[in-house]
Amino acid sequence: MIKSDVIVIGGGFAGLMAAAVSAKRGKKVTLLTYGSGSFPLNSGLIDIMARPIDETVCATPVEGIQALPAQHPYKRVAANIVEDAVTFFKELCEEENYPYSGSLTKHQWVVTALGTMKPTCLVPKTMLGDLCLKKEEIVLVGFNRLKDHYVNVMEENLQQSLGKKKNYTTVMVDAGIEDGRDLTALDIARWLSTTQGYETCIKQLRSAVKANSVVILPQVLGLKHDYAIWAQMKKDLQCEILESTGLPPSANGLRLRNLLLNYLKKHNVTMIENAKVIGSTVRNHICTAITTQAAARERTYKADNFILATGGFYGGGLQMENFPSIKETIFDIPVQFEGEAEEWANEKLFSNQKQPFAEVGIQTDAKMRPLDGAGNCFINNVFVVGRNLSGYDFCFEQSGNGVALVSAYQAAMSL
Amino acid sequence: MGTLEENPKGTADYCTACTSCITACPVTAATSKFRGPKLVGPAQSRMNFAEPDAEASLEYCSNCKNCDISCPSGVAVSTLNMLQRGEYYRSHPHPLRDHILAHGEQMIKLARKFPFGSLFANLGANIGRKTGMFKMIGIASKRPMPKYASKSFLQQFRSIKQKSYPNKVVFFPGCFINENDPDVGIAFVKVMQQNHYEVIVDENFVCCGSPLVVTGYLDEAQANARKNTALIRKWTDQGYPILTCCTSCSLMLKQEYAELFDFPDLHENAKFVYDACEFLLDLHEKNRLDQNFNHQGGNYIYHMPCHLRVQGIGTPALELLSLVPNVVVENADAGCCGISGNYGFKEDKYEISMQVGQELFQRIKESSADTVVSDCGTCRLQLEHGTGFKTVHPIEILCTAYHA
Repeated sequence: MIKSDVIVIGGGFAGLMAAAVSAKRGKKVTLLTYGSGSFPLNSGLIDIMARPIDETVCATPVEGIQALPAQHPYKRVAANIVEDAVTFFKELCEEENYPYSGSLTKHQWVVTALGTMKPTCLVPKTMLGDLCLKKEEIVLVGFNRLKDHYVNVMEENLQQSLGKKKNYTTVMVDAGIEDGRDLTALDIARWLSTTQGYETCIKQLRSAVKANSVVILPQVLGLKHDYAIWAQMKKDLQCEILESTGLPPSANGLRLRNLLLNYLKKHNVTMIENAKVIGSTVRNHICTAITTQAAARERTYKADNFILATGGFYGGGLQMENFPSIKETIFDIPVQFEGEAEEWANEKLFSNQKQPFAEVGIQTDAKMRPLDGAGNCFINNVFVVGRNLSGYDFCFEQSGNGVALVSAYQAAMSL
Repeated sequence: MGTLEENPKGTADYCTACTSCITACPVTAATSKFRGPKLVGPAQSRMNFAEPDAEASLEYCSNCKNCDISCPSGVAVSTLNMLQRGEYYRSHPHPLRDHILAHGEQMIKLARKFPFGSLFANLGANIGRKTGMFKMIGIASKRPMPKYASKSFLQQFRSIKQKSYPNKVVFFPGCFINENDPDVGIAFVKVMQQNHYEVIVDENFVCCGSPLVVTGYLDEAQANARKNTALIRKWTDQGYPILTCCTSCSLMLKQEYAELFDFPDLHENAKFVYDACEFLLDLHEKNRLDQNFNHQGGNYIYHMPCHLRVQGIGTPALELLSLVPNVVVENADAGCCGISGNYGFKEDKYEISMQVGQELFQRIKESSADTVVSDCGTCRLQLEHGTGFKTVHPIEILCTAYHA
């Protein structure tokens, strides 16, 4: 393998963004992936910050960031970095013809699969839920045999979030897909991508949908990162068309993944799939190479810099077999949990506080380089991004993909 | 994750039901009759190994391994499916169709014992297809059967006069190159000679077993694995690398033997097995690749076989071809071609197989290339069938570039 300027380890959102920013800066990038990251699980939204301290939703994402404690990853970087990262992401999406809307100065609200309204920051055009606030007629579309999208539950909850004054209608569409397993949103999305499927669907919707309504569907408007089906449906029904978030597998998560992979390909990023990184060669605080486990043999890859984006406990970037011994397995970066075993988690899953286990991770300096227990830089040319980092609970705060974006941007700019 | 990971059955317990494999499975996308890799692989196999009932849609898995590539938790999804399929056929009879598709090597070896054997075999296949006999027993009638070469690779290899060099490699031709596409094997020998390697071919090698595994003949596959493993061991004891030009053979020898079977030397042997382009690229990185290329030019589109993608070694063929002047290669990067060995040759899987390949066919047809390059023999058959394009193995382009 010819030496790279930077090797990015991890194929999730943080990894792909770090590769994108590095490549855009003209670096020779090699991306090593093992699995498809959390794209199939999340809705491809970029949450930046909604609940910085407790359950109270902050006024705007940027004010939320200001309110965060000092150890939060956003607080490790300069304020303008968050803004630059958001700009970079939006420009990238624009370039790939799938622009996202939103800014740091206003929450965007999206409709969830349960019919609640969720604050987020950067949103594809198909999910701009604010539209629901403006229109009176709300149409909830479900599909026969589609799992995990129940229009009646949605209706009940939306009545609570948006008020009962609006008119709610529910429509069930039959995709007529051959017998077999339960359908996922992806099956419907593939069906809607065919001319026949689209026309069948529109026919069934036309009879039930009044013009000028907001039509809310699960994430089914195609698997490609374009707005073709969405725009056509808007035109054909003379309505606002909206996708909700959904349970996995997520169509928009996959659109975002395809969009980023497409960008990386255009920018000549070398991608090695199914390459599990199992170790590194580090001397005098400098890493010269990492080792992967390929079929039958180990392989060595050399670079000047390394970006670690292997995820947290869930993604396998951090491992703990016995409390409190937490391992980062590639570089052996020290990870500490400050507290006793009983402080590891709040007993209540939906408590009003961040979960201590969620905030466990790697501490870094402002350039995203890992620190040892004494606060010194552990390896000078390794940068840590995304779920590997300490000091945030993305689920509670609603900073999922946001911290990944900002830390990836900062790491790639620090090379 | 220590020892469990070396045992595919154990990896079922790493499944967190995250759905990544469902999103990556090309068969799931093509038909809702398949319940998907998550349910059939890890979920069902945990039950199945306790009880001998088989999940009805297990037959739809093509063993293309996109599930394995997408899994973040190291679950050997496709191998779990193949183990279950093998279990199932311990207590259920095989259809005649599966017997024919799994035992191509035996049949042509028998036919070659007679004068014009390959000619009659081809004629027979043609008649079988055209008279509807194939369809009747469940072999895809819309797809041409691969033609047998008039002289096998082994027959041709015997008459090649190689220059002797101290560096030697052992070539594992595999059934497809040996019986159907010997030109690839011959090109391989020339390329190795150009790089001052002498090629040894062990005439006792048998089919790697891949067609047997995917049709549920696990015991027969194991017998082949034992035979090849013993032979390979003799060569690796002398330090010779084992090279293949077929990515399904190399995946079997490198990884699937050790996943499916449990006997000595599997892991040690595997360390010596290389895909031909992987080996040549390693030579290049050691500055030992002969780069006296002289190619008149060509416009190609590359399809990376899934069985190469899963090996975790990137795209060695693309990197090698980038060294050849005047050769332009676009990476199709459009997923599985759909054939998956003998899967697409089954009458009831033919449409699925063509549906899976649709995006790739489209990408190829839209490209400015005139020839498809791919490291896998059955992928090449599928792409010829689906696009009408000519196809070559990357090693053939290198061979042309050396001898133009």
